[in-house]
Amino acid sequence: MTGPALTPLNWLLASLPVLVLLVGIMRLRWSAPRAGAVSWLVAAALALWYFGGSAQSTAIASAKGLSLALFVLTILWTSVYMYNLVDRVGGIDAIARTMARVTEDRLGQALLIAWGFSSFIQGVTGFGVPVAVATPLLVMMGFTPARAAAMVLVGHGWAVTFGSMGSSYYTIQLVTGIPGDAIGPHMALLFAVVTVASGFLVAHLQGGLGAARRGAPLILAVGGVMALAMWAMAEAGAPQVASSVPGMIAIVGIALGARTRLLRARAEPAPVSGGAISERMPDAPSERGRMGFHLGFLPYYLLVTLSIISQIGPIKSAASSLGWGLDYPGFVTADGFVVPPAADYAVIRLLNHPAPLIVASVALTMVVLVVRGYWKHGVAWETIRLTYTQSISTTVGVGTMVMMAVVMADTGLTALLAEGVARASGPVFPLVSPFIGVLGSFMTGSNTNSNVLFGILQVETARSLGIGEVTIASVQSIGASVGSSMAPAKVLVGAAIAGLAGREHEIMRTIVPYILGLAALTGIEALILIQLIPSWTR
Amino acid sequence: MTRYRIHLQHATLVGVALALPFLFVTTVTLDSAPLSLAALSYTAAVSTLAIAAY
Repeated sequence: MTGPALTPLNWLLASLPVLVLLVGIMRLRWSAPRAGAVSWLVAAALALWYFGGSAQSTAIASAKGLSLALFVLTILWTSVYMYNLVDRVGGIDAIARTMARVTEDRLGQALLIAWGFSSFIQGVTGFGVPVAVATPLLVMMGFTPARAAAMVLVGHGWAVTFGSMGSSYYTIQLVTGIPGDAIGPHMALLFAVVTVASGFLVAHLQGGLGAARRGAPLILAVGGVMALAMWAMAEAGAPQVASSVPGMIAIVGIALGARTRLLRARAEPAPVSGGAISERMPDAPSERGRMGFHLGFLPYYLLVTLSIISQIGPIKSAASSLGWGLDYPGFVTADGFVVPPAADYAVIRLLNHPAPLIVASVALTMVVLVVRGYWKHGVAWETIRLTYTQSISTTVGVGTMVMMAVVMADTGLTALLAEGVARASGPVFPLVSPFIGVLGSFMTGSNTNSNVLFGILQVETARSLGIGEVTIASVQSIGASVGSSMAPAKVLVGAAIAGLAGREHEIMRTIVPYILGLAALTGIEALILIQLIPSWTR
Repeated sequence: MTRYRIHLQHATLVGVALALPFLFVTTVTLDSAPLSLAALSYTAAVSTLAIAAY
C-alpha cells in the first residue's frame, strides 16, 4: 500500500480542504487567514481521523508548512519594507515622474507603465504594489480609471512568478522538489509567449486591434529581448531577478523604441503630456531638492547587482554553507503513504535567498541617503510599522494555507487528487493544467499559494500520465502567475486606487477574457510541446 | 475595525510565530507523541483565533 486508495469517497474527502478554501474565499468572502485556518483544521482532522496520519506525522507536516511559509514570508517582509522605505524618502515619486516624461504617445505610455514599469515593480516587490503604483500614474496621464487598472493587471501578470524576488518560483521548486537548474530556464522559455502576448493585450486594451497592430514591431522587439533576458537570468542561477531585469529592459526598450520607427506614428495626440504630471499632482515638491531618478532607483540597482555578484562561482560556493534550515524526520502513515526525511528543509541561504540581499541593499541605500542628505529622521522605524501593518494578514494567510497544503501532501491527499484528475483528463491534461494554476491564484490571491496548493498535484498528475513533470510544474506557475491578476484582492486594490471602489466588476469583466486567453495560450503551448517534442519537455 | 479585533490579529500573528518552534521541538527534538498532540492542539487553537480575528 502506498497511500489512500482511489475511491470516489476518498477522492471527495481529499478534495474537502481545497473545496472549503474555494467556497470560503469565493462564495463566503472569507479573508485569506480565515479560509486558510479553516482549511488547515479540515486537512488536519482528515489526516488524523480518516487518512491514517498520527499526531506526530500531522504535527511534522504542519511544522514543515510553517518552515516553507517562513522561507516565502522573509522575501515578502523585506521586499515590502524596501519598497515602503524608498517610497517614504521620495524615491518612488522620482521614479514615477521620470517614467511619465519619457513618451507622449498614448500607446507608448500604456506599454511603458502597464507592461514595463508595473512588471519591474512586480519583480522587486509584488503583493499588489504594481497595481497600487502604476494605476494612478496612468490615470494621471489621462487614461480612464477602469482602463488604467485593467491594463496594469493584465500587463504585469507575466512577471509574478519570478517577481517578488522569485518567491513563487522558489515555492514551486520547493514543493515539487524539481532542481532550480531544471525548472528555472525551462519555465522562462515557456514564459516567452505569455510575456510578448501581455504586451499585445495591453496595446489592445489601450486602443483595440489598431493599437496592437501599430505597436507590433515595438512589442515584438522589446518582448523578444525581455524573454531572452528572463531565460538568461534563470539559466545564470539568478531567478530572483528574472522579472525585474526584463522589466528594466522593457522600460529602457519602450522609452527608446517609442522615439523610433518601431512605434509607428501615433493615430491620436496624447491629451496629457508626461511633463504635465507634476502640475496635476497636488502638493508636488519643487524640482530643487527633489530626489533624482537614479538615487530613487538605487536599492533596485544594488539588489540586481548583489544578486548577480552572489551567483559568481567562488562567492556562491564560499557562502553555500551559510544558511538556516530545519531537519525533519520521515514517516509512514497508517495507510502506507511514505514521506522521506528532509534535511535543511526550506533552507534560507545567506547569498542564495533574496531576503539577505534585500537587507544588504536597504542598508547600503540608507548610508547613501544619509550622505546625500535625503534621510528623514524616524523613517526606518515608521517603515517597519507600516510594513508590519501591511504584512500581518498575508503572514497569517500564507502560514495557515501552506500548513494545509503540506499536511495534504504528506498524508497522500494531494497524490490521491492528482490520480483522480489524471484519470479524468487523460491526454488533454496539459490544456487543463494552467487553469488549475489560475484557479489557485484566483482563490488565494497569490501565485505562491497556488503553487503550494497545486504544485505537487500537478507534478503527481504529470508523473502518473507519463508526461513532462518539469513542463507541467512550469505551466502551473505560469497559469498562477497570470491568474493572480484577476484575484479579487488585487482587483480590489486596483479599483480602490483608481477611485472605483464598489465598481470592481467593471475591471473584473474587462480583464477576465484576457487572463483566460493567456492561460489558454499557455495550455496550447504545453500541449503542442508535449505532443511534438516530448524529449524536450522532460 | 475595532481595537479588540486588532489586538486579536496581533495575538494570532504571535501565535502563528510560536507554532513552528512548538511543533518542531515536540515532534523532532523531544520526539514525544503526547507533546506532539499538545502542540497540534495549540496550533488548532491559534487557527481558531485566526478565524475569529480575520
